Amino acid sequence: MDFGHVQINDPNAPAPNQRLSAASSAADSRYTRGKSTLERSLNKTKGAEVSLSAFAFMFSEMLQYAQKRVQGIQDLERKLNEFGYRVGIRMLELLVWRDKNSKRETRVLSVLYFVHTVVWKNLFGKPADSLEKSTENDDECEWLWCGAISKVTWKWGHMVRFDMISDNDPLVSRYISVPKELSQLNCNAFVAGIVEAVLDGCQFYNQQILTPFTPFPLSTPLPSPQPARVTAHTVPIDGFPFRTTILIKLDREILQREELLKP
Amino acid sequence: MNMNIDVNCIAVIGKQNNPLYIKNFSTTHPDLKYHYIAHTSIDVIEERVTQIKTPDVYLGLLYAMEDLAVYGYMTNTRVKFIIVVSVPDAVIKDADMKNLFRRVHTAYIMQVCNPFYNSDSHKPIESRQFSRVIDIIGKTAGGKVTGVGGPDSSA
Repeated sequence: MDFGHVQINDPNAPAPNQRLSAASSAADSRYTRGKSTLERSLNKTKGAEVSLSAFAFMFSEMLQYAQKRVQGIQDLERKLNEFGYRVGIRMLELLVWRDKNSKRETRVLSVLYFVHTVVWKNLFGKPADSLEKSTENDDECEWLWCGAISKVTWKWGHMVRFDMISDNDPLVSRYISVPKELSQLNCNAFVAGIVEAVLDGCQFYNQQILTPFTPFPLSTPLPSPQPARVTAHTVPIDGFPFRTTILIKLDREILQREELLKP
Repeated sequence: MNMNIDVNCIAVIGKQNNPLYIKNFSTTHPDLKYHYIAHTSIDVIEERVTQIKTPDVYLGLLYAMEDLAVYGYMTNTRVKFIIVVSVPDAVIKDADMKNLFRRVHTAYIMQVCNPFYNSDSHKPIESRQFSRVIDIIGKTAGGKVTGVGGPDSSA
Protein backbone atom coordinates (compact mmCIF):
# COMPACT_ATOMS: atom_id res chain seq x y z
CA MET A 1 0.00 0.00 0.00
CA ASP A 2 2.36 2.66 -1.10
CA PHE A 3 -0.34 4.90 -2.51
CA GLY A 4 -1.57 6.38 0.69
CA HIS A 5 -4.21 8.57 -0.79
CA VAL A 6 -6.11 5.80 -2.52
CA GLN A 7 -5.82 3.38 0.29
CA ILE A 8 -9.07 4.61 1.70
CA ASN A 9 -10.87 2.72 -1.00
CA ASP A 10 -9.46 -0.60 -0.07
CA PRO A 11 -12.16 -2.59 1.71
CA ASN A 12 -9.57 -4.98 3.05
CA ALA A 13 -7.72 -2.32 4.94
CA PRO A 14 -8.34 -2.67 8.64
CA ALA A 15 -11.21 -0.32 9.36
CA PRO A 16 -10.80 1.56 12.57
CA ASN A 17 -13.62 1.03 14.97
CA GLN A 18 -16.42 2.35 12.81
CA ARG A 19 -19.46 0.89 14.46
CA LEU A 20 -20.36 2.34 17.77
CA SER A 21 -20.56 -0.49 20.18
CA ALA A 22 -22.87 -0.05 23.09
CA ALA A 23 -20.07 -0.45 25.57
CA SER A 24 -17.73 2.26 24.37
CA SER A 25 -18.78 5.78 24.99
CA ALA A 26 -19.36 8.13 22.11
CA ALA A 27 -16.26 10.10 22.99
CA ASP A 28 -14.12 6.99 22.81
CA SER A 29 -15.21 6.04 19.35
CA ARG A 30 -14.69 9.54 18.14
CA TYR A 31 -11.03 9.32 18.89
CA THR A 32 -10.48 5.75 17.78
CA ARG A 33 -12.20 6.29 14.46
CA GLY A 34 -9.16 7.99 13.03
CA LYS A 35 -10.61 8.82 9.64
CA SER A 36 -12.58 11.89 8.83
CA THR A 37 -15.88 11.64 7.03
CA LEU A 38 -14.22 12.84 3.88
CA GLU A 39 -11.70 10.03 3.92
CA ARG A 40 -14.17 7.24 4.49
CA SER A 41 -14.69 4.68 1.78
CA LEU A 42 -17.54 5.78 -0.42
CA ASN A 43 -18.80 2.25 -0.65
CA LYS A 44 -19.36 1.76 3.03
CA THR A 45 -22.87 2.40 4.14
CA LYS A 46 -23.01 0.39 7.31
CA GLY A 47 -22.34 2.42 10.40
CA ALA A 48 -22.18 5.63 8.38
CA GLU A 49 -25.66 6.76 9.33
CA VAL A 50 -26.08 10.14 10.94
CA SER A 51 -28.24 10.31 14.01
CA LEU A 52 -31.62 11.89 13.55
CA SER A 53 -31.07 14.42 16.30
CA ALA A 54 -27.87 15.64 14.67
CA PHE A 55 -29.65 15.95 11.38
CA ALA A 56 -32.64 17.70 12.94
CA PHE A 57 -30.32 20.20 14.58
CA MET A 58 -28.45 20.87 11.36
CA PHE A 59 -31.66 21.16 9.39
CA SER A 60 -33.10 23.65 11.84
CA GLU A 61 -29.97 25.73 11.44
CA MET A 62 -30.36 25.52 7.68
CA LEU A 63 -33.95 26.69 8.01
CA GLN A 64 -32.93 29.64 10.15
CA TYR A 65 -30.17 30.53 7.75
CA ALA A 66 -32.58 30.40 4.85
CA GLN A 67 -35.28 32.29 6.65
CA LYS A 68 -33.02 35.26 7.26
CA ARG A 69 -32.33 35.57 3.58
CA VAL A 70 -35.75 35.29 2.01
CA GLN A 71 -38.98 37.17 1.64
CA GLY A 72 -42.06 35.05 1.89
CA ILE A 73 -42.86 31.39 1.98
CA GLN A 74 -42.39 30.69 -1.70
CA ASP A 75 -38.96 32.16 -1.62
CA LEU A 76 -38.09 30.05 1.40
CA GLU A 77 -39.31 26.89 -0.29
CA ARG A 78 -37.28 27.76 -3.34
CA LYS A 79 -34.22 28.18 -1.20
CA LEU A 80 -34.78 24.83 0.50
CA ASN A 81 -35.28 23.33 -2.91
CA GLU A 82 -31.89 24.68 -3.93
CA PHE A 83 -30.27 23.17 -0.84
CA GLY A 84 -31.83 19.85 -1.70
CA TYR A 85 -30.66 20.07 -5.27
CA ARG A 86 -27.06 20.25 -4.18
CA VAL A 87 -27.51 17.15 -2.06
CA GLY A 88 -29.45 15.28 -4.69
CA ILE A 89 -27.04 15.70 -7.54
CA ARG A 90 -24.33 14.07 -5.47
CA MET A 91 -26.64 11.44 -4.07
CA LEU A 92 -27.56 10.37 -7.56
CA GLU A 93 -24.00 9.93 -8.72
CA LEU A 94 -23.06 8.06 -5.59
CA LEU A 95 -26.04 5.71 -5.50
CA VAL A 96 -25.75 4.73 -9.13
CA TRP A 97 -22.06 4.11 -8.66
CA ARG A 98 -22.69 1.95 -5.60
CA ASP A 99 -25.16 -0.15 -7.53
CA LYS A 100 -23.05 -2.91 -9.06
CA ASN A 101 -25.06 -3.41 -12.20
CA SER A 102 -25.92 0.20 -12.70
CA LYS A 103 -28.04 1.29 -15.60
CA ARG A 104 -28.62 4.56 -17.26
CA GLU A 105 -32.26 5.16 -16.44
CA THR A 106 -34.16 6.52 -19.39
CA ARG A 107 -37.78 5.66 -18.66
CA VAL A 108 -39.94 7.75 -16.40
CA LEU A 109 -41.30 4.87 -14.40
CA SER A 110 -37.96 3.26 -13.72
CA VAL A 111 -36.37 6.49 -12.57
CA LEU A 112 -39.31 7.23 -10.30
CA TYR A 113 -39.10 3.75 -8.90
CA PHE A 114 -35.40 4.37 -8.31
CA VAL A 115 -36.28 7.50 -6.34
CA HIS A 116 -39.05 5.72 -4.47
CA THR A 117 -36.89 2.81 -3.34
CA VAL A 118 -33.15 3.34 -3.67
CA VAL A 119 -32.94 7.06 -2.94
CA TRP A 120 -35.48 6.94 -0.14
CA LYS A 121 -33.87 3.90 1.43
CA ASN A 122 -30.50 5.57 1.49
CA LEU A 123 -31.82 8.85 2.82
CA PHE A 124 -34.43 7.67 5.31
CA GLY A 125 -33.79 3.98 5.78
CA LYS A 126 -37.05 2.85 4.22
CA PRO A 127 -38.75 3.16 0.86
CA ALA A 128 -41.39 5.84 0.41
CA ASP A 129 -44.93 4.88 1.24
CA SER A 130 -46.46 5.23 -2.16
CA LEU A 131 -45.70 6.05 -5.75
CA GLU A 132 -48.65 7.02 -7.86
CA LYS A 133 -49.20 8.34 -11.29
CA SER A 134 -51.80 11.00 -11.25
CA THR A 135 -53.08 12.11 -14.60
CA GLU A 136 -51.91 12.49 -18.08
CA ASN A 137 -53.96 14.53 -20.43
CA ASP A 138 -53.52 16.23 -23.71
CA ASP A 139 -55.32 19.41 -23.28
CA GLU A 140 -56.77 19.89 -19.91
CA CYS A 141 -55.61 18.29 -16.78
CA GLU A 142 -58.18 17.81 -14.11
CA TRP A 143 -56.57 16.55 -11.05
CA LEU A 144 -58.10 15.50 -7.79
CA TRP A 145 -55.61 16.24 -5.10
CA CYS A 146 -55.74 12.84 -3.48
CA GLY A 147 -59.42 13.58 -3.06
CA ALA A 148 -58.47 15.55 -0.02
CA ILE A 149 -58.22 19.27 -0.44
CA SER A 150 -59.46 20.68 -3.63
CA LYS A 151 -60.03 20.03 -7.23
CA VAL A 152 -57.49 21.81 -9.33
CA THR A 153 -57.73 22.40 -13.00
CA TRP A 154 -54.77 23.19 -15.18
CA LYS A 155 -55.18 24.56 -18.63
CA TRP A 156 -51.78 24.73 -20.19
CA GLY A 157 -52.90 23.48 -23.52
CA HIS A 158 -50.24 20.84 -23.59
CA MET A 159 -49.40 17.46 -22.26
CA VAL A 160 -48.23 17.16 -18.71
CA ARG A 161 -47.91 14.29 -16.35
CA PHE A 162 -48.01 14.29 -12.59
CA ASP A 163 -46.46 11.71 -10.40
CA MET A 164 -46.64 11.61 -6.67
CA ILE A 165 -44.33 10.09 -4.14
CA SER A 166 -45.78 10.12 -0.67
CA ASP A 167 -44.33 9.65 2.75
CA ASN A 168 -46.61 9.12 5.73
CA ASP A 169 -44.25 10.52 8.31
CA PRO A 170 -41.43 12.43 6.65
CA LEU A 171 -38.22 12.28 8.59
CA VAL A 172 -37.06 15.74 7.59
CA SER A 173 -39.88 17.57 9.27
CA ARG A 174 -40.54 15.21 12.15
CA TYR A 175 -39.30 17.69 14.74
CA ILE A 176 -40.50 20.81 13.02
CA SER A 177 -43.72 22.47 14.02
CA VAL A 178 -44.57 25.13 11.52
CA PRO A 179 -45.95 28.33 13.03
CA LYS A 180 -49.41 29.49 12.01
CA GLU A 181 -48.28 32.38 9.86
CA LEU A 182 -46.17 30.00 7.77
CA SER A 183 -48.80 27.31 7.54
CA GLN A 184 -48.31 27.02 3.79
CA LEU A 185 -44.71 26.06 4.27
CA ASN A 186 -43.67 22.46 3.92
CA CYS A 187 -40.06 21.85 4.83
CA ASN A 188 -40.00 18.82 2.59
CA ALA A 189 -39.24 21.26 -0.18
CA PHE A 190 -35.73 20.15 0.68
CA VAL A 191 -36.59 16.58 -0.26
CA ALA A 192 -38.36 17.86 -3.36
CA GLY A 193 -35.08 19.49 -4.32
CA ILE A 194 -33.29 16.17 -3.96
CA VAL A 195 -35.85 14.47 -6.20
CA GLU A 196 -35.55 17.31 -8.68
CA ALA A 197 -31.80 16.86 -8.83
CA VAL A 198 -32.13 13.13 -9.42
CA LEU A 199 -34.54 13.69 -12.29
CA ASP A 200 -32.39 16.46 -13.66
CA GLY A 201 -29.29 14.32 -13.49
CA CYS A 202 -31.06 11.57 -15.38
CA GLN A 203 -31.95 14.04 -18.16
CA PHE A 204 -35.58 14.55 -17.35
CA TYR A 205 -35.54 18.19 -18.33
CA ASN A 206 -38.67 20.07 -19.04
CA GLN A 207 -37.19 21.70 -22.04
CA GLN A 208 -35.09 19.73 -24.37
CA ILE A 209 -32.71 22.08 -26.02
CA LEU A 210 -29.83 19.78 -26.59
CA THR A 211 -31.05 18.25 -29.83
CA PRO A 212 -28.28 18.38 -32.39
CA PHE A 213 -30.52 20.17 -34.86
CA THR A 214 -31.40 23.17 -32.76
CA PRO A 215 -29.89 26.08 -34.60
CA PHE A 216 -28.00 28.36 -32.30
CA PRO A 217 -26.02 31.37 -33.36
CA LEU A 218 -22.58 30.83 -31.95
CA SER A 219 -22.64 34.05 -30.01
CA THR A 220 -25.62 33.22 -27.80
CA PRO A 221 -24.92 31.04 -24.82
CA LEU A 222 -26.94 27.84 -24.51
CA PRO A 223 -30.04 28.38 -22.40
CA SER A 224 -29.91 26.10 -19.43
CA PRO A 225 -32.61 23.46 -19.44
CA GLN A 226 -35.26 23.66 -16.76
CA PRO A 227 -35.37 20.74 -14.38
CA ALA A 228 -38.71 19.02 -13.89
CA ARG A 229 -40.81 20.94 -11.39
CA VAL A 230 -40.96 19.14 -8.09
CA THR A 231 -42.90 20.49 -5.13
CA ALA A 232 -43.88 19.26 -1.70
CA HIS A 233 -47.40 19.44 -0.27
CA THR A 234 -48.92 18.43 2.99
CA VAL A 235 -51.81 16.08 2.36
CA PRO A 236 -53.02 14.71 5.68
CA ILE A 237 -54.97 11.49 5.78
CA ASP A 238 -56.48 9.54 8.63
CA GLY A 239 -53.80 8.56 11.10
CA PHE A 240 -51.04 10.44 9.32
CA PRO A 241 -51.48 14.17 9.86
CA PHE A 242 -48.03 14.97 8.41
CA ARG A 243 -48.30 12.89 5.27
CA THR A 244 -46.41 14.68 2.57
CA THR A 245 -46.70 14.28 -1.13
CA ILE A 246 -43.84 15.10 -3.44
CA LEU A 247 -45.47 16.21 -6.65
CA ILE A 248 -43.48 15.78 -9.83
CA LYS A 249 -44.55 17.55 -12.95
CA LEU A 250 -43.13 16.18 -16.15
CA ASP A 251 -43.55 18.14 -19.30
CA ARG A 252 -44.35 17.44 -22.89
CA GLU A 253 -40.83 16.80 -24.13
CA ILE A 254 -40.27 14.02 -21.64
CA LEU A 255 -43.57 12.39 -22.49
CA GLN A 256 -42.78 12.56 -26.16
CA ARG A 257 -39.47 10.90 -25.54
CA GLU A 258 -41.23 8.31 -23.42
CA GLU A 259 -43.45 7.50 -26.42
CA LEU A 260 -40.41 7.02 -28.61
CA LEU A 261 -38.74 4.74 -26.12
CA LYS A 262 -41.73 2.43 -25.85
CA PRO A 263 -40.63 -1.01 -26.97
CA MET B 1 -5.30 -9.37 -14.43
CA ASN B 2 -5.42 -6.85 -17.24
CA MET B 3 -1.83 -7.49 -18.10
CA ASN B 4 -2.24 -6.55 -21.69
CA ILE B 5 -3.81 -3.11 -21.39
CA ASP B 6 -1.54 -0.25 -22.27
CA VAL B 7 -3.44 2.93 -21.53
CA ASN B 8 -2.49 5.85 -23.72
CA CYS B 9 -5.04 8.38 -22.65
CA ILE B 10 -7.91 8.88 -20.25
CA ALA B 11 -10.48 11.56 -21.00
CA VAL B 12 -13.54 12.76 -19.09
CA ILE B 13 -16.25 14.62 -20.98
CA GLY B 14 -19.11 16.45 -19.30
CA LYS B 15 -22.79 16.04 -19.93
CA GLN B 16 -22.94 18.85 -22.43
CA ASN B 17 -19.93 17.49 -24.24
CA ASN B 18 -17.62 19.91 -22.52
CA PRO B 19 -14.13 18.62 -21.85
CA LEU B 20 -13.56 18.01 -18.14
CA TYR B 21 -10.25 16.25 -18.07
CA ILE B 22 -7.77 14.74 -20.47
CA LYS B 23 -4.50 13.08 -19.72
CA ASN B 24 -1.96 11.72 -22.14
CA PHE B 25 0.10 8.77 -20.93
CA SER B 26 1.87 7.93 -24.16
CA THR B 27 5.22 9.16 -25.32
CA THR B 28 4.57 8.52 -28.98
CA HIS B 29 1.66 10.84 -29.72
CA PRO B 30 1.14 14.53 -28.97
CA ASP B 31 -1.69 15.71 -26.73
CA LEU B 32 -3.49 17.16 -29.69
CA LYS B 33 -4.04 13.72 -31.16
CA TYR B 34 -5.98 12.66 -28.08
CA HIS B 35 -8.00 15.82 -28.00
CA TYR B 36 -9.00 14.97 -31.52
CA ILE B 37 -9.82 11.37 -30.63
CA ALA B 38 -11.93 12.45 -27.66
CA HIS B 39 -13.80 14.84 -29.90
CA THR B 40 -14.51 12.20 -32.50
CA SER B 41 -15.67 9.67 -29.99
CA ILE B 42 -18.43 11.98 -28.75
CA ASP B 43 -20.21 11.43 -32.03
CA VAL B 44 -19.72 7.70 -31.87
CA ILE B 45 -21.06 7.59 -28.32
CA GLU B 46 -24.10 9.61 -29.29
CA GLU B 47 -24.81 7.15 -32.07
CA ARG B 48 -24.20 4.15 -29.85
CA VAL B 49 -26.48 5.39 -27.11
CA THR B 50 -29.48 5.88 -29.36
CA GLN B 51 -29.03 2.51 -30.98
CA ILE B 52 -28.56 0.33 -27.93
CA LYS B 53 -31.82 -0.38 -26.17
CA THR B 54 -30.33 -1.70 -22.97
CA PRO B 55 -29.00 1.28 -21.08
CA ASP B 56 -25.70 -0.22 -19.99
CA VAL B 57 -23.04 2.20 -18.79
CA TYR B 58 -20.20 0.43 -20.57
CA LEU B 59 -20.24 1.10 -24.29
CA GLY B 60 -17.42 -1.15 -25.42
CA LEU B 61 -15.01 -0.53 -28.24
CA LEU B 62 -16.03 2.65 -29.98
CA TYR B 63 -13.63 2.49 -32.87
CA ALA B 64 -10.06 1.75 -33.71
CA MET B 65 -7.74 3.95 -35.67
CA GLU B 66 -4.28 2.98 -36.79
CA ASP B 67 -2.65 1.47 -33.71
CA LEU B 68 -5.11 2.87 -31.19
CA ALA B 69 -8.37 1.48 -29.84
CA VAL B 70 -10.93 3.77 -28.20
CA TYR B 71 -13.27 2.53 -25.48
CA GLY B 72 -16.21 4.41 -24.04
CA TYR B 73 -18.31 4.52 -20.90
CA MET B 74 -21.22 6.76 -20.09
CA THR B 75 -22.64 7.32 -16.63
CA ASN B 76 -26.30 7.88 -16.03
CA THR B 77 -25.65 11.59 -15.82
CA ARG B 78 -24.22 11.60 -19.31
CA VAL B 79 -20.66 12.09 -18.22
CA LYS B 80 -18.48 10.18 -20.62
CA PHE B 81 -15.20 8.46 -19.94
CA ILE B 82 -12.95 7.60 -22.82
CA ILE B 83 -9.91 5.40 -22.60
CA VAL B 84 -7.52 5.08 -25.50
CA VAL B 85 -5.31 2.00 -25.51
CA SER B 86 -2.74 0.84 -27.97
CA VAL B 87 -3.91 -2.20 -29.87
CA PRO B 88 -2.35 -5.24 -28.21
CA ASP B 89 -1.51 -8.65 -29.60
CA ALA B 90 -4.00 -10.44 -27.40
CA VAL B 91 -7.68 -9.63 -27.15
CA ILE B 92 -8.69 -7.21 -24.43
CA LYS B 93 -11.41 -8.68 -22.26
CA ASP B 94 -14.48 -6.57 -21.68
CA ALA B 95 -14.33 -7.40 -18.00
CA ASP B 96 -10.85 -5.87 -17.74
CA MET B 97 -11.96 -2.77 -19.54
CA LYS B 98 -15.05 -2.47 -17.35
CA ASN B 99 -12.86 -2.75 -14.31
CA LEU B 100 -10.66 0.04 -15.56
CA PHE B 101 -13.63 2.28 -16.27
CA ARG B 102 -15.05 1.48 -12.88
CA ARG B 103 -11.90 2.85 -11.31
CA VAL B 104 -12.11 6.02 -13.35
CA HIS B 105 -15.75 6.28 -12.31
CA THR B 106 -14.72 5.90 -8.68
CA ALA B 107 -12.26 8.74 -9.04
CA TYR B 108 -14.95 10.87 -10.63
CA ILE B 109 -17.46 10.09 -7.87
CA MET B 110 -14.91 11.10 -5.27
CA GLN B 111 -14.55 14.36 -7.14
CA VAL B 112 -18.30 14.94 -7.39
CA CYS B 113 -18.89 14.20 -3.72
CA ASN B 114 -16.66 17.10 -2.83
CA PRO B 115 -19.11 19.79 -1.72
CA PHE B 116 -16.89 22.50 -3.15
CA TYR B 117 -16.92 21.06 -6.62
CA ASN B 118 -19.70 22.45 -8.78
CA SER B 119 -20.67 19.71 -11.20
CA ASP B 120 -22.75 22.12 -13.27
CA SER B 121 -19.92 24.43 -14.05
CA HIS B 122 -18.27 23.66 -17.33
CA LYS B 123 -14.81 24.22 -16.02
CA PRO B 124 -12.29 21.42 -16.38
CA ILE B 125 -11.47 19.41 -13.27
CA GLU B 126 -8.41 20.82 -11.59
CA SER B 127 -8.32 18.71 -8.46
CA ARG B 128 -4.90 17.38 -7.55
CA GLN B 129 -6.41 14.34 -5.90
CA PHE B 130 -8.33 13.49 -9.05
CA SER B 131 -5.34 13.77 -11.35
CA ARG B 132 -3.27 11.72 -8.96
CA VAL B 133 -5.78 8.89 -8.99
CA ILE B 134 -6.11 9.06 -12.78
CA ASP B 135 -2.34 9.00 -13.03
CA ILE B 136 -2.18 5.82 -11.01
CA ILE B 137 -4.93 4.21 -13.03
CA GLY B 138 -3.15 5.04 -16.26
CA LYS B 139 0.24 3.92 -15.12
CA THR B 140 -0.78 0.76 -13.31
CA ALA B 141 -3.27 -0.57 -15.84
CA GLY B 142 -0.46 -2.73 -17.17
CA GLY B 143 -1.15 -4.95 -14.20
CA LYS B 144 1.90 -4.41 -12.03
CA VAL B 145 0.07 -3.09 -9.01
CA THR B 146 -3.27 -4.28 -7.73
CA GLY B 147 -5.54 -2.94 -5.08
CA VAL B 148 -5.30 0.62 -6.23
CA GLY B 149 -7.94 3.10 -7.18
CA GLY B 150 -11.14 1.32 -6.35
CA PRO B 151 -12.84 -1.30 -4.27
CA ASP B 152 -13.30 -3.51 -7.32
CA SER B 153 -9.67 -3.88 -8.09
CA SER B 154 -9.03 -5.97 -5.03
CA ALA B 155 -12.30 -7.86 -5.19
